Amino acid sequence: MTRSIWIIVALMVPIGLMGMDEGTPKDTAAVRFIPVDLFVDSGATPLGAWQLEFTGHGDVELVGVEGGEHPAYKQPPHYDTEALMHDRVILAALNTTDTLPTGKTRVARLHLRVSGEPTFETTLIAAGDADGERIDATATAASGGIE
Amino acid sequence: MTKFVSIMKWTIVVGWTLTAAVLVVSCGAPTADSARQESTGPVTAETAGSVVAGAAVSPSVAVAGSQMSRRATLGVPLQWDPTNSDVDELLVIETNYASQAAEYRVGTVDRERADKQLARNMIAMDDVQACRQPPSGSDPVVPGCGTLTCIPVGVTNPDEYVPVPLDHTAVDADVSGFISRVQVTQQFTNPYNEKIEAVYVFPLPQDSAVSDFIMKIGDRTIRGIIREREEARRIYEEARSQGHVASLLQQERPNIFTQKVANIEPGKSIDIDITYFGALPYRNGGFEFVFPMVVGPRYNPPGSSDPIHAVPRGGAQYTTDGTAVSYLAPNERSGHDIDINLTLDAGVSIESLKSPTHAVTIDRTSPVAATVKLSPLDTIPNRDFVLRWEVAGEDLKTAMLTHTDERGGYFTLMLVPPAELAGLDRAPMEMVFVIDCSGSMRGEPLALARQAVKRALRSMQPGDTFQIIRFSQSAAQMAPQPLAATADNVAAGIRYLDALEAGGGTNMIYGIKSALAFNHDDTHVRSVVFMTDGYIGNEPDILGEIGRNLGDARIFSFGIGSSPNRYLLQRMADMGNGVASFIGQDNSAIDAMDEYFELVSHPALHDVTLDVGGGVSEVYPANIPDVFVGRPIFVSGRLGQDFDGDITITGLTGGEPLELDCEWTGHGDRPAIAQIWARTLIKDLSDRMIWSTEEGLQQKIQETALAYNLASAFTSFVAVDSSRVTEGEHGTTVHVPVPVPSGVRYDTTVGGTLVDSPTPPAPVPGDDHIDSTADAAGQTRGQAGG
Repeated sequence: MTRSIWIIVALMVPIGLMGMDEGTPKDTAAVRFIPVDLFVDSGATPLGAWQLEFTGHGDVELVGVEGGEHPAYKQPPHYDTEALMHDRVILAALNTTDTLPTGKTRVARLHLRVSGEPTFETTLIAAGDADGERIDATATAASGGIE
Repeated sequence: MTKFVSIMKWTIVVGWTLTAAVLVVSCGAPTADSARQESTGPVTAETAGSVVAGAAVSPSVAVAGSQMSRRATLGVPLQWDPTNSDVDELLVIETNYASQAAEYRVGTVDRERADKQLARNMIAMDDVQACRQPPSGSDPVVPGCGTLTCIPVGVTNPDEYVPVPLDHTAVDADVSGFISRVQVTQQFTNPYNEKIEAVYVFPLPQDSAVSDFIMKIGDRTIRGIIREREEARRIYEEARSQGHVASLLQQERPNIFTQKVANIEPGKSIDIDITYFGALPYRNGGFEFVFPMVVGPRYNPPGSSDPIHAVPRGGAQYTTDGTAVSYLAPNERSGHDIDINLTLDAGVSIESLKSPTHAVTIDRTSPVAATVKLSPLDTIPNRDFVLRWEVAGEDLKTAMLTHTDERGGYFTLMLVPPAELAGLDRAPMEMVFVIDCSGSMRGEPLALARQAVKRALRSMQPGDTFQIIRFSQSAAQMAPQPLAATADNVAAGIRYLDALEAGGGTNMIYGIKSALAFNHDDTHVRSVVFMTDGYIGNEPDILGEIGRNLGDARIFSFGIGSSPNRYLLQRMADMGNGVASFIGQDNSAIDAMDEYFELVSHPALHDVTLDVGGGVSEVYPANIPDVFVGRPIFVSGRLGQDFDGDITITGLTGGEPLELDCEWTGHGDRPAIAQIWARTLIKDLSDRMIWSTEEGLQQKIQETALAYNLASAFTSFVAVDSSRVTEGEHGTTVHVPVPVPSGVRYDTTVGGTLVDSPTPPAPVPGDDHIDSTADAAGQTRGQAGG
């Protein structure tokens, strides 16, 4: 657990207004709660660590952070509290086990309170492999859907 | 009949044959012999590889024996009323705790035979006529384990089980040196047929830095977000109204929190994990880990802002301000229970380790380490859990723990009083004993206070003076001025104490004003000794009075009972430049008073300063408190960039400078140190908010709490599951009712809302002055007797 994460800006992925799944309130001006899934794609390299910034433009508040789908990132990642004070959501997680995901992996789900028609963008700050070496990766976000 | 039934009942957690065997293997449950030892009180019985310590108050029992020769032993003195002698036969009932299933009638026992056994806090199951095994699979968790109750035959309405939406609280603690990390899991379940919002008011240690909040829905885990208090509340209410599962953690006092969980569907469960850090106090010769389990019923003087109401079950929804704690009536029980698991790494050899309050199993894994588990026979959450361990005196040294991250360096210093202090004599003292005589002190609490003050009077030295002040609705004092500690005056003081009775509300403000108001004799050191359970809702008024009018007095607060308001007691002592002690299950009145005299019999180390290489800043408490013999203190601060372990601590005692050595174990990854520093800063700012007119304090508290992810008076945790909308309206709000603390009478506290207001005690012979400003009619319906 002594590995460090390199702070680099790897990729910025802007996302426009995301399409809403069925079940989402149709009155987009009203306050509502929506999930947004965050993905990191590390290609064929096992994903050992990641750090990204999620930015919402408009009336957006973070109201919960959930883990991802792969067991390595099942636990909710920690968020940077000082960044949150400035309306920035910076998340990070690492895993040193042998079972790490490859390809496009959902690493977290954000629970958001929104109104109006906000837009979002995701910036990958850093990603690393199982040995702590920097790797190329991309980060994306998508609507999580509401049951 | 209800009262009669409550007197006639014994609640016994009983294990049947299979259970007993399982417990002996896995938990070190006592044998029949060791169980008998338990019945004598807080004794320790060695079993194979483990230790079982007896409980002192709570109804708990150990069971052992072969089939049909079981013996259930209460771990506590029974509440048996011999005047109820017209009962010939008792019905023995088992009720399943886990499932709250219907009662299972075990059989009957002859009253005369039962009396003899119950006087020894046990009942031999061989004496139970038609004794039967429980139905197969009566408890999916622990087969055959439930609650055993004896009631008079013919009584058809025993304790009423109250379904509550809180099943269980699990506490997992890791202690390293003097730092603890505790995770509390609250397991909410909806036992009703419609959707509910659960509201639970619960205590945590007053200095705990709550820094993580997790909501679990099935196998999904959602981390809560720290937000400004009003913002978090708004988010929660919006989510609730839209049908999302959501949760909110609010701090009502530093030691009282409200947990709300919205949209729990019928039969569904939601877990809430709360994590906090803290520095463990050292008192009574050892370190203490304390976990409070229930909020005591508070009294709110008329006009109180932000009160803590004590209401009977079902009454919470009618309160319109402040916080309402809902209490079970004496004949009511819920299935909510608690377990505690603690891992201790003391860092130095542990000389002794025990819980004076609960039955525990202890596994000493090494000379410096142990694991401790609350006995499954002692899981009713109705009093503080206390675990105490002693280390060799020479191993207790002033030490500094540090942590550095991208924000900079932090430290927590445990400052151990130098041995030189014990060799110095004290100056003559003016001791002012202030005794809470309100309704919640009726019975054992007042008896303990009386016993402690008598001990103190008999321990005074020639040249000392004393005064006794009592308060409830109003305040009165024994004499117009402090009396010399002559034999005659001490005898008069003891007579005054014997005449004290408890009743009415807790207008503590009159007590503290009286104690600080009269003229001070400059030739004596004034020591105000406060005896109270602290069951009030207007803590800021009391602390504000101390902050403004303390003068050169010191305040030594003594918390009385099984679940005292430790926040108030500790803050009174902190602001009063004294120390807090606790009398009850975990410490006798005599021991506590003897320790107090040891504390005050030597001058304190004062004007303590830190000189640290590389510099320190933002040291809190801002005014480093005086250090008394046997009472280490904690100081937190920020480190300069060039800190290299060079630490010099100096202070004054008896007018002479004194330098202390300090150990530093090197830089480490201890994020708890940063959290504890932030929590200490918030505590310091909060205290200043009470009595200072300084501006910007709230803003600074809020910013600190948000930056360090801490719950505070102005920040709350909120979590929303946005990925699902539950069906239907948000449902009924259900307040989780809790038992009144062990030893506290419902009828003189919560019961004040149901029956006529408690009557304040009559004047005591020898009263010099009755404070006429107190409104004896101030006790209103809806108020706890305090």
